Amino acid sequence: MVYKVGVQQNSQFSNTVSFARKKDKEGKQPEVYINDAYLMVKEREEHPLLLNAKIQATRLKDAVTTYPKKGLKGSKNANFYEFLTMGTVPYLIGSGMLMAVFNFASKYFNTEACTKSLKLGQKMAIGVVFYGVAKTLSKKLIELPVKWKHGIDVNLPYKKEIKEIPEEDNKNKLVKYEYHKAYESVDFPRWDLLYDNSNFGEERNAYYDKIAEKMHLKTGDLTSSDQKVKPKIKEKLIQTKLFSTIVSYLWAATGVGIAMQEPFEHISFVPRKLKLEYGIKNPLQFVKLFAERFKESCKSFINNNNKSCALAGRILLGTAIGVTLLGNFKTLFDFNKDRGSKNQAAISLIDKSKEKVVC
Amino acid sequence: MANLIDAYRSHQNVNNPSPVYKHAYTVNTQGKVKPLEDKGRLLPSRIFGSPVEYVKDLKKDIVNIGRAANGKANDHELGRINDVAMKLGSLALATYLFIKNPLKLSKTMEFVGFGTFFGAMALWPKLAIQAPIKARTGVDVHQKYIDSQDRKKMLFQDPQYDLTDLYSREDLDKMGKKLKVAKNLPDRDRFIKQRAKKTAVQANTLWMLTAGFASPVMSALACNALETPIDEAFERSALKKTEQALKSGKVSGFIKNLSSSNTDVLQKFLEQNAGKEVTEEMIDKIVYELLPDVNSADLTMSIKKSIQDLVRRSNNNSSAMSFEFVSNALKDILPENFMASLQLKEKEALNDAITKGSVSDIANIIGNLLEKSGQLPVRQKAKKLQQITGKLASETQAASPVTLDKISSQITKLGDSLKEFVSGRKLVDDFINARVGDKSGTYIANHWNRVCKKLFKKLKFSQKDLLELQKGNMDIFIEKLTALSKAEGKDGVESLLNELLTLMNDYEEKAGNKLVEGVENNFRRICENTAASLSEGNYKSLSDKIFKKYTEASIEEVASNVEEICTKIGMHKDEIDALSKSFKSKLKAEDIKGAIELLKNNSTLMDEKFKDQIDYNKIQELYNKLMAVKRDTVENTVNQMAAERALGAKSSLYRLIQSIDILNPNNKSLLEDRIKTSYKKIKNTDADDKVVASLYETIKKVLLEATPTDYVEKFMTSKINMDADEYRIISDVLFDKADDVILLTKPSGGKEALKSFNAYIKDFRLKVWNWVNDMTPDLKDRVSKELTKDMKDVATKDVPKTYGANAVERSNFIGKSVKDYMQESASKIYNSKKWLKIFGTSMAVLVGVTLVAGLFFGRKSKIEKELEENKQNG
Repeated sequence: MVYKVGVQQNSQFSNTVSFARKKDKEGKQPEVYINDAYLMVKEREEHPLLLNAKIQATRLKDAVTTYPKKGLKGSKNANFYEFLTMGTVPYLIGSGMLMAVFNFASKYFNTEACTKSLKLGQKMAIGVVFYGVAKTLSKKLIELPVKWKHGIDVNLPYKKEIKEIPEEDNKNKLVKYEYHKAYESVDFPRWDLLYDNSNFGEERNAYYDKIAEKMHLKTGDLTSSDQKVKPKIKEKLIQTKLFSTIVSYLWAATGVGIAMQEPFEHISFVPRKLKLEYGIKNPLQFVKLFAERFKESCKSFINNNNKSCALAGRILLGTAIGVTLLGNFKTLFDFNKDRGSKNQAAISLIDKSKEKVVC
Repeated sequence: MANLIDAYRSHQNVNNPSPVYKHAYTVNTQGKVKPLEDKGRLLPSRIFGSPVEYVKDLKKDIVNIGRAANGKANDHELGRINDVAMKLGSLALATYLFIKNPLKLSKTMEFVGFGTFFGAMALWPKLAIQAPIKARTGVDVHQKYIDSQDRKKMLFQDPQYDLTDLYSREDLDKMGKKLKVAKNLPDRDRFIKQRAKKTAVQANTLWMLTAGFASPVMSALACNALETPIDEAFERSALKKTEQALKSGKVSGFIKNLSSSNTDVLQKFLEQNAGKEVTEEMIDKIVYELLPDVNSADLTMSIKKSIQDLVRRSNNNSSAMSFEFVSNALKDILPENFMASLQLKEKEALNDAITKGSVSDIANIIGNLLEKSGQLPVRQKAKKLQQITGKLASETQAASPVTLDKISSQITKLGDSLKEFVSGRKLVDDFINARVGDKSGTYIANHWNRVCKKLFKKLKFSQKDLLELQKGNMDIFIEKLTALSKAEGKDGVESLLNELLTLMNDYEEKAGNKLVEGVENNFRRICENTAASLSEGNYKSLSDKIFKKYTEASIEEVASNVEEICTKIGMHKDEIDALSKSFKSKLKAEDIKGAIELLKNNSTLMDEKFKDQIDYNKIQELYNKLMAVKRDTVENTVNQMAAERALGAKSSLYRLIQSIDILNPNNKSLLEDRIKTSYKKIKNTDADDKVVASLYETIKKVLLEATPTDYVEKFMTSKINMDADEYRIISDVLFDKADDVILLTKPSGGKEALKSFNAYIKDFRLKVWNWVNDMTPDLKDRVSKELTKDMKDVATKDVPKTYGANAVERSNFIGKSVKDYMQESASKIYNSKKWLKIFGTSMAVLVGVTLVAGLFFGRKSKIEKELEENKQNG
C-alpha cells in the first residue's frame, strides 16, 4: 500500500529524480559499495580515532540540522536511524541543562549563596562530564579485549547509501549516507559485507577464516569457516553488548561519585579566578592541578573520613571492577565449544519440532 | 531471517558441494517452515503504566540479562537491558550519594532526584506531546503494541516499518474524524494511516528536540517543590518519634545496637590487649568506647581520671616497693637525708605500711613525720600528701606496670553502669536536636522558614526590594509596613501580628515549654540511675562529680574547710560538730547567706574575738565552687543547653513581633505619646518634637539591630550609642513596670504565648542575677571587663544585676537581630525566586512552544488536498 503511494508520487517527479552518488575525491581510493554499503575497514585500521570523530561529527551535524528538519516536516524518508541519531541531542542538551540548573542562577545570588551554589554546581558540572567520559571509555574495557582476543570489532563502521523517495520539497538530493556498524544488530549482523572484502584477504571467507583462527576453531580442513564462526560471533557479540552496557553505567556512576568529592571544590574553570586563587597561568598548569584534584578525589572516594561513605565508594568501585572482569571473563573465554560444528550449527538453528517465524 | 537462510545455505552446502549460493533462495521450504499467524495487537494507551506490568517487565528483563550473559538475546531484549542498566547505574549513584550526604533531607533528595529525573523523562513526552496531540488528532503517537513474539514495542518507532494495519476500523474512523479526512475520499484509510504516521514522525522529532531541556528542568522544579513538604514530614516524624522514645524511656533498636556493638568493641579491645601495659592512648581508646557519641569534655575527662585512679589503685599492692624504693622515689620532694635520719620505730611503722603496699598509708606516715619534725606547715600538708601519693604511684607503676587484664573487669563494670546513660543521653540529644538543634530540618529551622514565608508574603516584597534588604537597607521594611497599613488599614499589620503570634503558640506547644519539661523530667531519672549504679560499682567520686545534681561531697568539702577554720581558732570538737551540721544543712538548702549568718551570729558557739578572723570571702568562694560543681553536672549542662536554645529562638521571634508592632505606622502616635510620658518621668520636663524624633530613631535602631539577648540585658549594645537617661527612657517605652515586653497593638491571638515569654524572661533574668550575685569579686570583675565601656557605665548606674553571663553564656542566648534575620531571609527568598523565575519561565516557554508546535502536526498533504478538491469539484 505504501509502495503505491510512492509510485504515485514518483510519477510526478519522474523527470527530475536523481540518484547520483557523490563523486570520490581525486587521488582518493574510490569507496566500494557492496549492497549499498561501504565497509570502512581501512580507515578504521589507519586512523581509528579520526574516523570515529569524523563519524560522530557528521552524525551530530545531521542530528541537529537535517534530521530535525525532515522529522518536523513528517518526511516519508525519516527512519529509525535518524530517530536514534537524534537521541544524542537530548543527551547533550540535558547535560548542559544539568550544569546550568546548578550554575546559571548563581551569578544573581549574594556572595555567600553564590559561593555555596557554585561549589555544588562545579561538582555537578564535573560530574556530568565524568559521567559521559566514564561511560564512553569504560565500554572499551570490554570491547577492546574482545577485538584483541577474537578479532571481532563490534564497532566496525560502514557507510550506507540510502536512496530516498522523492517528496514535494525534495526532488534532487535523493541520496544520503548513514553511518552504521556491521554488528549493530545481533539479529541481523551485516555478514554480507564481511565476505569478499579485499581488506581481509583474497579469499571469499578471509574474514571468517581469520576469526576462526583467532577463536581456535580452524582445525583440519575447514571449508566453510563462516558457518562455523557466525554463531560464535553472535554469542560473543551479545555478551560484549550486554557487559559493555552494564559496565558503562557502573563506571559512569563511579565517575560522578568521584566528581562529588570535596577536592573538586578547590578548583575553578574561570581563568581570572584560576590566576588569582591558584596561580595558574597556562593550560598545562591547569591540567596538572586538575590531575592532582582528580587523584585526591579518587583517594577521598575510597578512603573517606566518613567510614560508611568510604565503604559505599569501595563497593561501587569494586562492583564496577568486578563486573568488568566478569565481562572480560565471559566474553574472552568460550564455554560452549561444542556448539560450533557445522552440523550442530544447522541443527541448533532449525528445530523441526517447532514452528518458526520467518521474520 | 538472515540466520535461517544462512542455516539453509549451510544445510545445502553439506549435501551438495556444488555452488550453492546462487540457489540459496530457491530452497523449497514447503513443510519445513511456515509463517505463524499474526498475533500482533495494539495495547490500550495509558499515561501511567500499571505497576504490575512494570514488575512483570522487570522480571523478564532480569531473566534476559542472565540469558544474554550466556550469549542468547535479541536486539529488542538488549535494548531493554540498556534501559534497566541505566536505571540500575543511576540507582547505585543515588544510593552512594544517599550514604555520602550527612543530612536526612539531602539523603532523601538524592532518591527524589533519581525518581523525578526518570519520571520527567517518561512524563514529558506523554504530557506535553502525546496527550495534546491525541486530543487534537486522535493519533496516539506513542501507541504501543505487542508483536507475535509477545514483545512490547512502539508502533511508530521505525516509520519505515509500517504497522498501521493493526489499527481497527473504529480506531481509523476516530482518527479520520479528528484529522478531518474527507469521508468520500477514495482509499480514505490509506490517507488516515499516512497522516497518523506523519504525525508520529513529527512528534518523535519534537520529543528528541525538547527532552534535553525538559527533563532536567522538570526534575529540578519537582525537587524544589517537594523539598519543603518532605522536610516538614521529616520534622513531624522526628518530633513524634523522639517524644515517644523519651517518654517510654525505651532505647530504640538502633541505639541498643549502637551500645551493644560498642561493648563488643570494648570487650574485644580488652581481650586483645590483656597482657599489655596500660598506656594513656589505651585509656583514651577505652574512654572513647565507653562514651560513644557523647560529646562532653567534662564527662570524658572525669571518666579518664577515674580509669587513671583505677590503674593507680591496682598498683598499690605491688610487691616492688621497699624502703629503698620509697626513699629513692621521694628523694626529690622530701628534705635531704629525711629518710636516712628516721628513727628505728619510725622506720618500722613505715616499713609496715610499705609491706601492706598502701600508698596513702605511706604518704600519711611520712606527712605526719614531716609535720612532727617541723618541716611541713599544716596548710601545706594536704598538698604534700597528694604530691607524695602521686610520686609513689607513678614510680611504682613505672617499676611494675599495670597490665590491662588487671583492670578489665572494673572497666567492664564501669561500661555496664554507663550503658543506660549513653543510650539515654542519645535519646535526650535526639529529642533536643529534633526541636532546636543547630541544623537544617529541625522544628526551629523550619519554623523560621514558616515565619519568613508568612512575613514576606504579607509584606509583598518585590525582587528589587529583596535585593535592597539583602544589603541591609531596613527602610524598605518600614516602607512595606507602611504600604500594608495603607492597603489594609489597621487590620493589615494586626492580622500579620496575629499570624506570627499563632506561629509562636505552635512553637510554645512543640518546642518551648515541652522541650524543657521533656528534658528535665526524663534526663534526671537517667542520671540518677547512672549515679546509683556508679556508686555501687565503687565509682562514687565519678558519680558525685558528674551525675548528681547536688553533691554531698562538695558540701563536705566546704564544711571541712569551715571545720579547719574553727579548729584553728580553738573551738571545742562538740561545738564544731554542731556548727558543721547546721552549716551543712544551710548549704544543702542553697542558703549561703543563712550559712554565713550562722557563722557570724552564733555567739554561743564562737568566741567574739574569733568572729572577725573567719574568712567569709573564702566561704563564699567555696560556696561558689559548690555551685559551679552543681552547674557543671551533666544533667544541668544538658538542661541548660536545651533551655538556652529554646529561649534564644523565642527571643528572636518576639523581637521581630515587637519590632513590627512598635514600628507599625498606625501606632506612631501611640508610640510618640509613650516616649513623651517616659521622657517626662525620667527628665521631669516635656520633650520637644526634635527629641521625640531622635528617640524614635534610636528605638527603631534598638529594635532592628540589637540582638535578642538584649531582652535580658534590655537592649544594651555597643552598636548603639546612648546615655544613661536615654537608656532609661527607651527601657520605659519598651518594657512595663513588671519588665514585660510592651505591645502597642492588642492582638487577639497569642496572648498565652506572650505571657509565657514574659515569664521566661523574668525567670532567666533572675537566674543570671543569682549567678552574678554569687560571683567572687574576681569573677565579677572579669565579667565586667568583657563589657564595653558604654555598657559598663550604664550597668553600674542602673542595671548591674543584668550583666551576669560570661561571653559563652551570653552568646548562647543570642538569637538573630531583626536586621540579620531580614537580611538572611531576603537573600534566601530572593535566590529561590530568581532560580524559579529563570527555570520556571524557561519551562513555561518550552511547554508553550511544544504545544504550539503540536498544532501544526499531521496536516494534510498536497495530494490529499488536491484529491479532496477534485472530489468536491466532481
